[in-house]
This record gives sequence, C-alpha cells and structure tokens, in this order.
Amino acid sequence: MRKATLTLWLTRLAWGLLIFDVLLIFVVPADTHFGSLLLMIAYAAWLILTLVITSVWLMIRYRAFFRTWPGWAVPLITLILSSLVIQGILPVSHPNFSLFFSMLFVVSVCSAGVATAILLWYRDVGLGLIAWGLVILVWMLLFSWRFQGNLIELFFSSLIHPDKPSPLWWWNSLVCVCGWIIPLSVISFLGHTLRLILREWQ
Amino acid sequence: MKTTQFLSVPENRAAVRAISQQVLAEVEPDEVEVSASFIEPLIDMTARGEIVTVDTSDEAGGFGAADLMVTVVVPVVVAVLGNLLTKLGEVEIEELKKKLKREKEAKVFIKVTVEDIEVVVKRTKSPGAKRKIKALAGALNGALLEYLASK
Amino acid sequence: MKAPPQKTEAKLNIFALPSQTTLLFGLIVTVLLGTVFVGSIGPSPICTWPLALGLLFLPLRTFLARPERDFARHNLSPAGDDLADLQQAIETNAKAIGLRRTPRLVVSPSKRPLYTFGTRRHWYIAVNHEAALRLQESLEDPDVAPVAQARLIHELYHFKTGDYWQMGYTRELLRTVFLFMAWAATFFCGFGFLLIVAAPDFLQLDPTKLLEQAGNLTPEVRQMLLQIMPSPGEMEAVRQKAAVINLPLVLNFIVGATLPYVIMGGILWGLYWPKLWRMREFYADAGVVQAQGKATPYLSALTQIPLPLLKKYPYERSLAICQQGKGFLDIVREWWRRIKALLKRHPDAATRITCVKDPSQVIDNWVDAAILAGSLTLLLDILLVSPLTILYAGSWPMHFSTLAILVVVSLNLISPLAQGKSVWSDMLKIIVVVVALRLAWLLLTIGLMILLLVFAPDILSETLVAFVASSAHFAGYSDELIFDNLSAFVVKASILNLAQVLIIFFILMVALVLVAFLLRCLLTWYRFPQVNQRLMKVAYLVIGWVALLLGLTILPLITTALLRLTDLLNLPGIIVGALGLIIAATGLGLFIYAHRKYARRCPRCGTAVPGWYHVGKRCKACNALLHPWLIAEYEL
Repeated sequence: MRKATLTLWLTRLAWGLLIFDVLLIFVVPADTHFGSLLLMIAYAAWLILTLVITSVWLMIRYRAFFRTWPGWAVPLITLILSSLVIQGILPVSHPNFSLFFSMLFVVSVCSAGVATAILLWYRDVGLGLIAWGLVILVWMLLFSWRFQGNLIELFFSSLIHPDKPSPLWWWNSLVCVCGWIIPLSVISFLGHTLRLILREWQ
Repeated sequence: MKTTQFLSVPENRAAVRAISQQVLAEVEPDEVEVSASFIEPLIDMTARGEIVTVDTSDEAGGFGAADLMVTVVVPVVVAVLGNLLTKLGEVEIEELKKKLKREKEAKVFIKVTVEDIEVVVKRTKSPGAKRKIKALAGALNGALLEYLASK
Repeated sequence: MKAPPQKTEAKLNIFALPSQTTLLFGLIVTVLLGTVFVGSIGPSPICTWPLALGLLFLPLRTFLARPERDFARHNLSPAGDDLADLQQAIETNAKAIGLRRTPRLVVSPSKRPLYTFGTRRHWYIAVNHEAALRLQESLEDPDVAPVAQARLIHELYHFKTGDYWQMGYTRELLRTVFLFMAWAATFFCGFGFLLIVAAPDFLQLDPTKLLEQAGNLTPEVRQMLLQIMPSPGEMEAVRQKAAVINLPLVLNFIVGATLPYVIMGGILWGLYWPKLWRMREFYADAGVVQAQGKATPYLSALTQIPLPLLKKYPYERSLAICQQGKGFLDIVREWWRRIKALLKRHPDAATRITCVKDPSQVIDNWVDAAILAGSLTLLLDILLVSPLTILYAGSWPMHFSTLAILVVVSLNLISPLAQGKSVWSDMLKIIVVVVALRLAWLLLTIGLMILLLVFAPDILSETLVAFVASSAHFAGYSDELIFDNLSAFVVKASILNLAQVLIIFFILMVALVLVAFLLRCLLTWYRFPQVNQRLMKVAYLVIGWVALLLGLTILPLITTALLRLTDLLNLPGIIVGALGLIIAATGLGLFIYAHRKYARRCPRCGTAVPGWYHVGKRCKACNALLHPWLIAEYEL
C-alpha cells in the first residue's frame, strides 16, 4: 500500500517537474544570461537533470507501453526528430524552440536507451535487434555512399564545417541507437538464455 | 409418416447401406473400406434425427475432426429414399422396386438435386462434402437408378 | 494340453519399431545441421564451426522459450479449481501410460483445440476453458467417458512418443536456418555491395590531403587526426591486399553459401514439416487404442458417432465394390489430391482409421520410402556443393549422402522384415529411385556443361572459374583457376561423377542386402535376454556397424582409388581402413556368436523354430507367441 502511494506520488512529482521544465523552457528567454555564468550553468544543469530523471521515471512507470514495439519506436522517432532540428536540417528559428529541441535531444538519447532496456527486459529480442540493426546500418551506409558520395569526405567536411547542415544527418541517430542496441542486446541475450536454462531445470 | 420410419424394415436398411456404399465408391473410393463399420450406426443416428457435425476448428495440433463423406452420404440416402417412399405411397423398397417396374413414369421421382444434398451438408458443416456436392448428386442419382432397377 | 494354433490377424506394435517421426526428425536435422557440421569438420573456405554451433543451439534456446511465448500469445493461464477433476484425470492417465511426469493443464479464453506443447521438463496441455469444462463433464459420464479419455490419451501420447520436442526443435531449427541464412544473405550482400561501391573511394583516400583541405583546424587537432587516421604506409598495405580481392566473387560466395539453405529449408518446411505433423498423429492414435485396449472410443471421438451405437455394430470390412476403370481426368484428380495431401498438416480421417485398424500402414511403403530417401539425396547433393561444404564434398563426395541413405533405408526395412515380408524387390526399387534421381540431377548438370562447351565455351570457363573461386579462393584471383582444356575437364568430370553414381548404387545394394539379412537373422533371436527392450538396440547397432564399415573402410578405399590413386598407400588411410575392418570383423564375430546362442529356439520350451520370423508367429511345439512385444493387442 505504502509502495503504491509512493509510486503514485513520485509519478505526480515527475509529471509536475516535466510540465514545470517545459514551461521554464518556453517562458524564460533562451538567450538570457541570468547575470552570471554559474547561474546559467545551474539552469542548464537543472533542466538536463530533471528532464532526464523524470523521463526515465515516467518510462519505467509506463513500461507496459514502452515494452511494445510502438512504445519503443516513440523515443527513437523523438531522437531522430530532435537530431534533425539541432543539426539544422529542420530549421527552427525561435531560440526557445531551439532550446526545447536541444533538451529533447538530450532526453531522447537517454530515453532511447531506457526504452531499449525495457523492451529487452520483457522481450527476448536481443539477437534480432542486433541482427536487423546491423542490416539497416550496412544498407544505409551502402545507399548513402551510392547516392551521397564519399562518406569519409562528407564526414570530415561536417567535422570541419559544423555550422553547415550535414548530409550525414542520419548518422548520429543511427550510431546512438546502435550504441544502445548492441551492448544492451548482448546483455539481454545472455540474461534471457540464463533465465531460460534456470527455468528449465527448476 | 416420418420419413425415417421406413428404416425399421431390415430390407430398407440394407438398401440404404448398399446405395451409400455405391455412392462412396464413386465419390470417395478411399473411404469405402473404413466407412463400412459406420453405416449402420449412422442409419440409427439418422433415424433418431441426429446428425454428425464436423467441427473443423479442431485442426492441426489438436485431436482433429473426421470429415468423412459417409456422415453426409447416409443421411442424404435416408432422406431421398424416405421422400421417394412417401411420395409413391410405399413402405418397403422391394414394393417400390416393383411399382417402378410397373409404372415407368414413376421414375421421374428418382431425381436428387444439389439442393437436396445441400440441406444435409449445411447441417453437417462438412467442408469435404461441400466441395463435392455436384459429384454426390450425380453419384446418388446413378446409384438409386441402378439399385431400384436391379432385381 | 496344447492349445490349437490360432490364426489371428496380428497387429503390428509400431512403438516397438523405429519411429517414423524420429526418422523424419533425423532427416531434417541431418540435411540442415549435418551439412553445416560437415563443413566445420572438413576443409571449408571460411570458419564454419561457429555457424554450426549457432544453428545447433539457437533453435534449442528458442525451443526453451517457446512455452512462454505460447502463454503470452494465446493468453494461457493455469487451470483453476473448477478443473481439478480434469487435471486429476490427466494425472491418472499419464501414470497409466507410463509418462515420467504429468503435464499441467492450462486454459485459454480463445477458441483453441486441445493441444500439447512444452519443453523437455515442462509439459502443458492447453484447451479452451469451456471445452475443458465439457471434457471434464464427459469424463464423469460413464457413457461417454471412454471417448473423452481417448482424446486425453491422444494428447498424452505426444509426450510419450517424444514428438512434442522433436516437433518443437524442428520448427525452431527450420525457422532459425531460414532467418539466419536470409539475414546472412541480406547483411553480407549489403556489406559486399558497400565494399564494391566504397572500395575505390576508400583506396584513393589520402588522409594528409584530406586534412590539408581543412584550413580551419588547429595544428594540435590536425596532429591528433593524423595519428588516428592510417599512415600512408598502412594505406599502401591495404591497397595491396585489396588488389587481390575480387568483390564480385565475394558476393558470389555469399549468395552460393546462403541461398541453398534458404531454398532447402523452404522445401523441408513445405513438404517434410507437414509430414512430421501427420505422422505424429498416427502414433498418438495408435497409443490411444493400445492404452484403451479397444478402438471404438477412439473411433467415436474421431467420427463423433455416439459410442453406444458404434459398440452395437461389430467391426466389419466392406465388400469389394467393383469400380469402373478410371479416365484420364480421374487419374489427374487423384494425383492432385495426393499432392494436396502432402501439404496437409493433419492426416485425413480415412487414413487415420486405416492405420488404427492396420498399424503397419503407418510405416512408409516403398514408394514413400523411395521418395524420402531420394529427396534426401537430392537435398544433400545440392547443399553439399554449396561453397561452405564443396571442399569437403570434393574430397569425399560419396560419404555423407551414401551413409545417410543407408541408415534411412535400413531403418525402413525393419518393419516389413518384422511382418515377414520379402524386402528384396522393395529395396531394389528404392535404390533405383534414389540413384535415378541422383543420375537425373547429374545428367542435367553434365548436359548443361556439354551444351555450354559446344555453344558458349567462354561462358562455361567463366562459370567454372567463378564456381571454383567462390569456394576455393572465394576472395581472390588465382592462376590455378584457369581452365586450359575445357573439353578434357568436362569429359573427366562427367566420367568421374557418373562412375560415382554406379559405385554408390552397387555399394548401397550390397550394404542393404547385408543389413536386411542380418536384421532378418536378428528377428529370430527369440531367446535373447530382455528381448523386448534390447533387440531393437541391437538392430541399430547392426545398422551402425555396416555404416561404420562403409564409412571407414570401403568408401575411403573406393574414393581414393577413383580420385587420388597415388594416395592409396598413405599410412593414415591404411590405419583407418584397417581399424574399420577390425571393428567389422569383431562385430560380425559377436553377431554370429549371439545368433548361434539365441536364434530359432522357442523361449518357452526351447524347441527349434524353423523359418524366418513374422508378426504373430508361434512355436509349433508349445504354441507360444514369438516376440509378443511386436504385437499390439486391442479390439477393433
């Protein structure tokens, strides 16, 4: 009973913090300096920390949704969308919106990992995720090389000219998703194998 | 008179049996051997107004349901012979045979249509019989004519 | 007083003979896993053992995970107290048929038939909740209880025969092979294409020049990037290595290594998997009638004709009804029906009833056995020439498929021998079909080669180079790959391959005649201790013994003489051959000793029992039934 109350309380707090943070992002002018660098860093840190913690908590709380494939896809789509904005592929001129999408990107990077972990905890799909993830990676590289040109040069070019929109906009999201999928899937595969063996002998 | 009442006469049962086997031999030759033991019980069931229903939901992985043609053929033969006897006002097949010999025009009554069979097939829900309704009608007409014309 | 000899129609106890389900299971596993393992043991262009281990254990893992997937998919839950009587009935019947554990009853809200699933140690019987309640009710009604019991025992026999795990593992194996090979083809083709597209750009890459273009970099960052990137020397080494790689051949290798498995997996899935499903039902049916001691409850459950009515009329066979000669269309329809029946997962009721009335019908006749063995040969021939195993198959082309066919056909011989049938003509027909299929495949290949030689020698040369290169030198060019004298190559290849077909025919015939003779002798060992438990094991030993003799001595000797005459006197070969001979001689000695001791004597009175065994044979002196364990006792 006490546990249920605590969970409910924490969830309400998380929703409250989330709404508060989103309001802060849109209400406080994005180019404000708060009078000192320290305050500015504290503001950014507050936003990042609270947003990440609340989103993680809410994902765990609503894990019934995130263990489904559509649930898993939501943070991934958010990641790709926010990545497009911060790389300048989708132009957003208002500074508060830019800040919002920057925060969204940070949150989505973590959320993608948490969603993958939730999915893999409940579903024994680690091997499939690695396998088909690699297939997507290879074929995307192939098509990209075929239609966009020399990827090494393009990659250098985007490093040298970070101010210009990179044609390799998809690379960051893909690397991020693969970065979560590969280690988590390996752990999940081994964990589920162990669980299956133990259950068989019980 | 109930159309199945004629089954209380042993000769009539023998007729149902012989015609059913003839129809089976034509429509589903592989079943003739295995179905022999089921004809009499099926005649009894039909006489009681019962019919075998094929439950096709019990497919692979389960026990399975037998979609035997005999479960359709016997009730159809009983229904057709019963109607024929009623129409021609006879109780025994042997009498019917004699009457048919005397009155050649009475042969027009020996005509089984697809609709006649459909009534039974709908009750049994047999997918196999559903596919072979036309063949069943043809075989049944042939077997009836042959049996009723025999000595 | 001696009882007069009874002339009964003895029914074969199919559980005492090699299981056809196990045989089919073995066949699928042999084709899919055997070839990969052969590739790992023998020479292979790539390291194949991880693939073999993966294909062995991944299906096992998925098999273990299957129950929880079934639970989730069908919303299954353990049966509650309202079904306690049904669970109790399951337990009672499980004990009665000698199951080592009781399956748990699970119920589903969806309309599912009564079915079984599970792993080696966790067994489940699943059923729709309402159907379970009806079944429980039926078990309490004395009129219909045997019918309900028949349905339960049928399901329990799937555990008794072990087909639940064979089915489970086979399903996962087929699925894994298909998915893995499809994945490998997709991934490696993508990778190969990427290399083809990216290789020119990558090889021309000059890191120093690339960094020079970036004028806005600080010297420190430039230095750091230079350290990360490959040095000119390293780039040159990569260029030299890449120059000898022929990327189209790499792709050729990938497609050649994966595609046959996808296609063969599909064929096994399409034809053998349904056969496995059908076969398991026959065994479960046989279990029901043997356990109940009569067939009527089973027939009532199957046909839905009330049990009292079936009991009222005794079992009879129908009189033969004259059928008119079949027309062409009837024959076409008949064959079409047969082909459709091959794809069905559930046997038709007529066949099930026939098999209950005469269990020997469950065992494949010579046509089915020939199709089984012939298709096994074809599948193995096709898979063994895939780049993963071609090096092994090139060195030992006759071993794998010959031994596989020997085992399959030998196991199929046991049942007709037990029935006292003559197997010689069936055996000959099976081998002729097998060899004919192989010959047809070979002639097709040779014919194609000759056609190309005459009309398009360049294409033939390129095809052969690509074929050899895809396996032997799959990633590079080699001077050895040039075919100077194409016609000589085609002639030599044709002669060698045709000779192999004839050799295999004679080897198989001789080996099978030997096996059949030994098995026939074995079936007369009436006095063998614990004969019901041990005789079939000896039969398997006999088959294994002949396979060993063939595999260690005869086939290596003939293969070496045919392909590498100069290696005939090499020491390891001689040692292995001699070992095979020693084992064969010892085995034969033991067999003769046991035969003299146990054969052709009545186990009850010790009187000589002349002639070969057949089901239902009795001792003439004391009328004792010989090998009663080979007979199934139940009323029809």
